[in-house]
Amino acid sequence: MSIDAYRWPLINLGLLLAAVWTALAVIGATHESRALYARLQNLQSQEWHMQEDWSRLLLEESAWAAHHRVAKLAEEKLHMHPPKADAIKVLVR
Amino acid sequence: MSARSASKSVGKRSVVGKRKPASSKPAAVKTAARGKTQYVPVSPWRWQLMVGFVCLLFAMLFGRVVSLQVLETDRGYEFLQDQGEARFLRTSVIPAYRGTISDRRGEPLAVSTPVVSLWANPRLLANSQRGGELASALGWSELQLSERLHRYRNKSFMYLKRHMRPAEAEAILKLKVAGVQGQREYQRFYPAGAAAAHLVGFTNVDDRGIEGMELAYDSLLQGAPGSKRVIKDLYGEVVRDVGELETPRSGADLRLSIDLRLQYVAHQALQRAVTLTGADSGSVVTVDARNGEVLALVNHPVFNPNRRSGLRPAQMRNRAIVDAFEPGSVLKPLALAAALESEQFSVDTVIDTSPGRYKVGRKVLHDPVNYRDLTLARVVAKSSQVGIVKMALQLDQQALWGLYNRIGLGQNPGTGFPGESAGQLQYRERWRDIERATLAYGHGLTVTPLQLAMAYSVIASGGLRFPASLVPTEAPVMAERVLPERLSSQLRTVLEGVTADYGTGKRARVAGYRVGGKTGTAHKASAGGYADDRYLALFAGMAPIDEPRLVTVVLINEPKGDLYHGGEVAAPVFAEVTEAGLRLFNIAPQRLQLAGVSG
Repeated sequence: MSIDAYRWPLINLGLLLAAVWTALAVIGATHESRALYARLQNLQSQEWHMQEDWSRLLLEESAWAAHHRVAKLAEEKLHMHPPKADAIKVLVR
Repeated sequence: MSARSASKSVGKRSVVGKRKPASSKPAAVKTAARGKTQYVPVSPWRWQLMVGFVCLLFAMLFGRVVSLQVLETDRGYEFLQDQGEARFLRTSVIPAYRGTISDRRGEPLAVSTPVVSLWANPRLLANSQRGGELASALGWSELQLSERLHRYRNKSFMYLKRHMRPAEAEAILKLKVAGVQGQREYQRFYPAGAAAAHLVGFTNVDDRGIEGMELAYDSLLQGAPGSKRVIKDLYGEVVRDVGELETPRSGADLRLSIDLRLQYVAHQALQRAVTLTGADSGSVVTVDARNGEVLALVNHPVFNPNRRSGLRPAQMRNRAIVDAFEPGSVLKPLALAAALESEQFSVDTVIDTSPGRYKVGRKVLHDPVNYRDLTLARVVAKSSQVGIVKMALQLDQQALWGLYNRIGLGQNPGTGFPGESAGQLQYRERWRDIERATLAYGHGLTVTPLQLAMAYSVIASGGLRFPASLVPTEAPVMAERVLPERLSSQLRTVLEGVTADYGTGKRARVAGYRVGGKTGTAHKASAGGYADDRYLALFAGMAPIDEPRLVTVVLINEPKGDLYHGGEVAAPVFAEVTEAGLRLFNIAPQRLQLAGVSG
């Protein structure tokens, strides 16, 4: 298993190139991972803000549509009242 | 070759025994000292020894380096790397979103919203020239801030303000005061406020459930917080996020079985009744007779879960589930059930209650007036103490206990609510007459309002006993048959009689529907017997009576003043809640003229 002398420089050169290539690839991969992580953080902060909006709107909605508020408005503003029993007719098909 | 090996052996020896080379050395020096420079050939082993020694040192150094950086030894490279990273890499927690709690229709009861907590490193901030600026932005005086800084001067972490609206916190963070940082968190809001506070419970400042359903379903709601690696500088400020280790997992949403609309109605009706009668406390529970789901559950006194400072434990107790009491007359229909089951009695069996008094052991039981001859149905309708006791004493020793036990008294209703009480129903080998008599009119045992509602829903459901549930059940629900169908429908007819003109529960009536129930006015036990002026006013009932859907129990504890009977205080609340419930759940009225529509 001997390698001819003239082949050594070639092999060394090949290894050197491979080493440089992997080094560059590591740099590239690191950069990509950072870029992706930055994007993830960006999206997470968007999610955060949307969540904030959503929960605020949900709370707002439930406050405006609360049963007692609707009942109060119906009675005071629209002068509505639940029908008396003798005013109800049941329709039977 | 031979000389080398010889010198080697000498060198070796010199290492082993130092004497020999030591004796030969002075000889060479002596000759030089005489003045004549004379080169004495130094044997090669001395040079070789030195080279060997230096090589050995290098080898040791190299070995140490290898052991530290390559080999996986005890304190090898992993340990060192960790130690190195520990100097600047930190793992920080990413909070998980806590699931929403809603009512059965999806109305929110507890919602987490993102907030920001401001914190500071006191050691850094103390040196800052911009304390005044920061204090005014926080709405504090400069003195307040410096006092706080002084208190935490030896720490490197203190909260400035927790749970701020993100926009407000952002404004302060924009000042970029050294040592001030924001931390993302979630805060819980309870849109239903006091109306559902006891049932929903609440979380502590760290977003962990500590009361009510928030506690019972904490692990479900909580989710799993994630983590990320960050690089921090000497002062503990985050320089850069390195990467996410674990993605936070949001908690699951929880849907409760209550209907918020009915909950509001019950809440308001109870509040009004308590204010009107000056009662100490009260509870209303409404249960779906078809599956044991709790549709509404309210208590008094209440609290605002969104503003909890200065809260007393008495306000927070979910009395409807946690507090057991002697129920009194509302148990008479159950005693009647035991009598009907024995087949010694029917609802039409006549009992002579004259002269309105009856002596059991040493105790004399009274009716308000002498009712004379009453059928058993009327005994319940009029709530005659004498009648029910006379009936109960003719039953088998264990009949009452057996039925109460079978129907679920003295047992956990099975909601899983923290602190759920099972009440007390003691078993005895032998029952004295007075013990059986008291059991028949609802004393000598304790139940919770929820248990009472579940017991009545056995009558309502045609004899089926469901486990109580605070979350929507999935059909079909496993139920246990504890009463025959026919018997429960007889009992319902008796309960409807209570709301008839001759009964004690007239004020429980709901226009357009036939309802039934039982009033109760129990004397409260206190030191040295039963108090004459402290009552529990109760009403337990169901509607519509033919095919009940809603079972409601109303308890008013210690009403003051002239109105204290269950029929006067609790029955109107029952009527109000039931009327709203029948409307909300679209249950058609019965006592109305029906207009036929062709096609």
